[in-house]
Amino acid sequence: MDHLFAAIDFGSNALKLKIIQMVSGEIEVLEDLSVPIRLGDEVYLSDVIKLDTVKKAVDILLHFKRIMDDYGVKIYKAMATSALRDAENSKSIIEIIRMKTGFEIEVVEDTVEKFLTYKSMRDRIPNYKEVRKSAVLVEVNTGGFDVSLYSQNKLVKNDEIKLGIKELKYILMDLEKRTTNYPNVLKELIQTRTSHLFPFITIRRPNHFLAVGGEVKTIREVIFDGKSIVHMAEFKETCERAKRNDYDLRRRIERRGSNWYEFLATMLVYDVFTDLVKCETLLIPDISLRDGILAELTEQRFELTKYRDFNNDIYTLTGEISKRYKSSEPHVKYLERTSLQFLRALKDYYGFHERDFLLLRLAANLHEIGKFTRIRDYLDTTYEKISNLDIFGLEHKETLLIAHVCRLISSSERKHYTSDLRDLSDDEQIRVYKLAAILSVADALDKGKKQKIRIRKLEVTEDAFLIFVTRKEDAVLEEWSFRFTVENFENTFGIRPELRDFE
Amino acid sequence: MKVINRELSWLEFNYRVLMEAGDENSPLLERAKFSAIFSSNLDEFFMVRVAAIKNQISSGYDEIDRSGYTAGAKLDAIHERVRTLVTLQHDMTEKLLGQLESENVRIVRTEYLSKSEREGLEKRFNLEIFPVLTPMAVDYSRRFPLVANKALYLAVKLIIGFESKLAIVQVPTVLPRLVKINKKGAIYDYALLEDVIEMFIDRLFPGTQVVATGLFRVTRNGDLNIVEDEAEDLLMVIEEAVKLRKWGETVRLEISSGTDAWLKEVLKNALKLEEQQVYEVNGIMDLTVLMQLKGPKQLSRQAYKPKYLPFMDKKALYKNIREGDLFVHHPYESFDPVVDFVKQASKDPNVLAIKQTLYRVSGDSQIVKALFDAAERGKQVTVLVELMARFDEENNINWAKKLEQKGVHVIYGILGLKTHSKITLVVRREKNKIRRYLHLGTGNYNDQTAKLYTDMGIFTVNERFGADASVFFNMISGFTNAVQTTALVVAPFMLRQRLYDLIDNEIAQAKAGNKAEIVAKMNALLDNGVIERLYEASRAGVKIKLIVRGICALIPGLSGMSENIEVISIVGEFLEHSRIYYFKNGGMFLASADWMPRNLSRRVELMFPVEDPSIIDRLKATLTLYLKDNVKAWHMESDGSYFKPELKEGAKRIHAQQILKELEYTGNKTFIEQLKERM
Repeated sequence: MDHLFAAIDFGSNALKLKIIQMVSGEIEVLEDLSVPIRLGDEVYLSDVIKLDTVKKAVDILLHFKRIMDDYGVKIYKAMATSALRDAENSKSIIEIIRMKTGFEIEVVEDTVEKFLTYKSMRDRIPNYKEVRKSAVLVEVNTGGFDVSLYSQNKLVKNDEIKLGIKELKYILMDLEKRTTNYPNVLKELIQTRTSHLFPFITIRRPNHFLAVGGEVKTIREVIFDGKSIVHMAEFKETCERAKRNDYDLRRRIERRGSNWYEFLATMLVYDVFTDLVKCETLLIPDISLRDGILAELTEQRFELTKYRDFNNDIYTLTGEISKRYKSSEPHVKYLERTSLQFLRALKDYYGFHERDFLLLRLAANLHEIGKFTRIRDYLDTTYEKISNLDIFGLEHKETLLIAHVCRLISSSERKHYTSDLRDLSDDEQIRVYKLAAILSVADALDKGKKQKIRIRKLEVTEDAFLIFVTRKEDAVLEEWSFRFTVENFENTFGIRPELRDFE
Repeated sequence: MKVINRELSWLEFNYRVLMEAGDENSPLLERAKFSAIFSSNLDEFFMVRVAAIKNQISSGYDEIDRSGYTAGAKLDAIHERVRTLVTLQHDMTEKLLGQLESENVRIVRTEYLSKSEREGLEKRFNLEIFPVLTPMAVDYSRRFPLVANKALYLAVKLIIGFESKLAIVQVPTVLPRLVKINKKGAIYDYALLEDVIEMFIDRLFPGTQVVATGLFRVTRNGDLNIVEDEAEDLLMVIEEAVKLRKWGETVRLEISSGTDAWLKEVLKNALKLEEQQVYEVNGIMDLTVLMQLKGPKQLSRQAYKPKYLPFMDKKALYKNIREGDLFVHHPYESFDPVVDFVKQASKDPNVLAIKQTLYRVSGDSQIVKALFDAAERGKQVTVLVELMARFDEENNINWAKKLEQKGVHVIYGILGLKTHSKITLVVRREKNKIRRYLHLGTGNYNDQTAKLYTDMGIFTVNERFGADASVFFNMISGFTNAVQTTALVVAPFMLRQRLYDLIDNEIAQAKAGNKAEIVAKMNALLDNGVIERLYEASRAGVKIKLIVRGICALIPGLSGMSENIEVISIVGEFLEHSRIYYFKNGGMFLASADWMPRNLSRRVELMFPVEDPSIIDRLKATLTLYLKDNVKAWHMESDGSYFKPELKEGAKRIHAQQILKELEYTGNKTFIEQLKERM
């Protein structure tokens, strides 16, 4: 049934399954199930997931499989997050699961996990557009927490602090032995570790505060009767009760099967960041990785455009990085536009991945960030900087591809760096060469960063890639630069790029 | 808080059952059946309740309970009441047997047999009975033989040498207890098997002198004591426990009155019983035998054929459900649609999965067969079989094994909680959409009891219910304990609180000067939490009408506590089994749960709202009918006793079950219109 979709989230505290059907463009939830299993603790304490726990996980997944079979679900995606990311034996576990259940589990990187989770806002928050105009989002998870800022319907900042709930929980438990004031001591620690982010939040004065993460479901359902919008004063009062170790609150949290210390640690993180805003309400949206997975699956199946703003977040964030490194914005825009024109013209003749359009745009954004710190060897610096970035929504492998593309933007560099690409698969190397060749030609055509040349038409012939242009003014520098990119382009695509005057 | 003692309240219920045996308006064999039910109920009562109280006493528990009794005092009161009731039963049965005799249905005592009848029985004894008898000698060198629960035995006093010796002979259960004497014509003359054996008892002991015989029967503790925590395979553990039940501690000895004093004493000592536990029976022992009596047609109730309504057409059933919620009231309306719901699903290529809970299943269950078929056709079939349904464990184990063999995914429920809910979920693939069809009921999926028990059910495709049903099945599969449902109310997680909320809401409405009313129909009302709130509601001015068939611990009509509460009990041809809960300001609900602690706290139960206005109206009308019943309704007094008010002269006879049987509403007139005419 091609209108049925399932998402499995192999999480740190629970395995979750959600099955939906698309009926006349609307999502109907058929199953939404969460089965607790403490994988995160085990990994945190012993670096591995023990076989007994794996067996339990297999039993749960077999149950999921049965439910999926009940509905005849064929399209699904199973993603594992931080527990499997961090477990030393994750590869064996994935194989055991594959053999016993047939499920192919994909370990998702936290950058992609966040992207998918936030993407689900589109379907889960009715006034998401309004929220995205001005908001701070704090996501607290097992392995770390994230602070994101939205402005004018764009994600403009996303920072991760590697201080996860598991770690905070054990710090809390240790502090508890030393002082009765342990919640405030932990709050102070969180403040110290995150204070560099405070100015970004206070300056923007966000209108909305979104609390997201593993414990929010408990917070929403146990404390706020399932409401996803609560008064900030009410929330702060709950923070105070949590810090006081309020008996009734603790009993309610523990009766639900949640760990009190994890809950308290989560509340403390939110407490730190809600201190910085003046919002009257706090949003506790019911968004999740599995909703994001389902968004991706349905988007692919039905070619939906409704997630455009969210997909664009990846781009806008790299744009912000580009700005921070003082890249020339008109040049970056020119480069992006021109290279995409080339890619579109070539895509019917050469195999490109769907993601290559995005990677090319991101490469255009980031291609000269190294210049900000080191003009000499800036390509190397750019490469280093990009490969050290955690780009929201991208797997690290993709980030590396962009870094390579940007380093090869100068055609002359290809021979120097070829050996560095050996860690990539053949397919990935070819992708890098192709994207770099395109970006390289586009960059040459704006060498003077004055956008003198305008692309009017593109034509692919048997042996040439004809670029018909008009010039705003004399473009000798660009034409001279262009000549250096021809050979590389021809070596990559087997056709020679030629500049022709458009008449 | 004052309450009525549950055991004594139950005995009052059994008294009402017994009174049906005296209903001159009922056919004689039907009346005999009620005497048999009284006995069978009483057996179960001793096996479970009396055994539990005995356990309390032996463990030294002597606290006074809310009803004002210690365990010891309770046991004394029970024995006293039981003796009165059993004496009454035997008097009534004797009278009934006299009436049956004039209709040529006789249980003939051996002293009244003719010579030729005696000879005929002797021949049958030699050929059919003697070969299956196994006399067991009892002496000091041997342990007293194990005496099976509820089986009849003859104790035989023998003289060997100069000594009195005891032997016991089991009345074989493999043979019919009623031995037909005369096979000719329309005469139904029976001898009791034990009498026939006794007649020829000396044949079993050649060379010895039989000086006395006495019939006896023991009742044993029948509660399964299962330590589930240690149970790796629940199926095996329960199988073992069922075997052991036959040999539980003895709680009652019934012995024929006039039995030789030596025999009685030896038995009493051997079974380690106190005098209080010994019941002398003056007449036929174990009157459940009356269930086997046959006679001319006019002595039995005419077989009732349930109504088959147009929407029940099996081919259109699913289509009809799609068009709106369907309601069924058994046994007045056919149980076929419930069976067809599963049968059709098993055949329908578009059905992907069937999920069902089974609590008590009939011997030849059509539903189970349909589940087999569905599994064979490759559908996903998940069935929860509640192994611990009391006294049905063996039957359920058999079904569970068979289902597993057919590839059905059988689950055994949640540790420590019996699954009592009645729900079937069918997942069907339709035009670009998956649709969930549901049946929710108040009674078990048992096509046999559906002919005798009044139960209700609803078929629906309401998506909210469907989503909740999925959550419910995940919960009983043991994979989640967070039960978040929006329509269905699940015990033991939310039901108690929901009931409290519903009652509290009526209280608030009453206090605000608005109309507030609760009408609830159930099998038993025992939960202190609920009772306390009902008292509070009564004090607040909420009008409360309760139709409680069995135990009712709530005291109605007490000034300052429960003057706004009325309780009636309907005992009749059909066993009242439906649970209907109506809150004027909270809505109409049907449920699998009674208001007992076990239902609200220790079982998995479902209460579901009725949302279709026409079904709500019908339920309201049905409740009104029950409340107006002046034939089978018993009214509860504040002391826990019940009475039937005299029918005023000229008053219209309202017999709810009879009216529901006779009501025809397949034509132009609706159920409610027809009912109005009868009231």
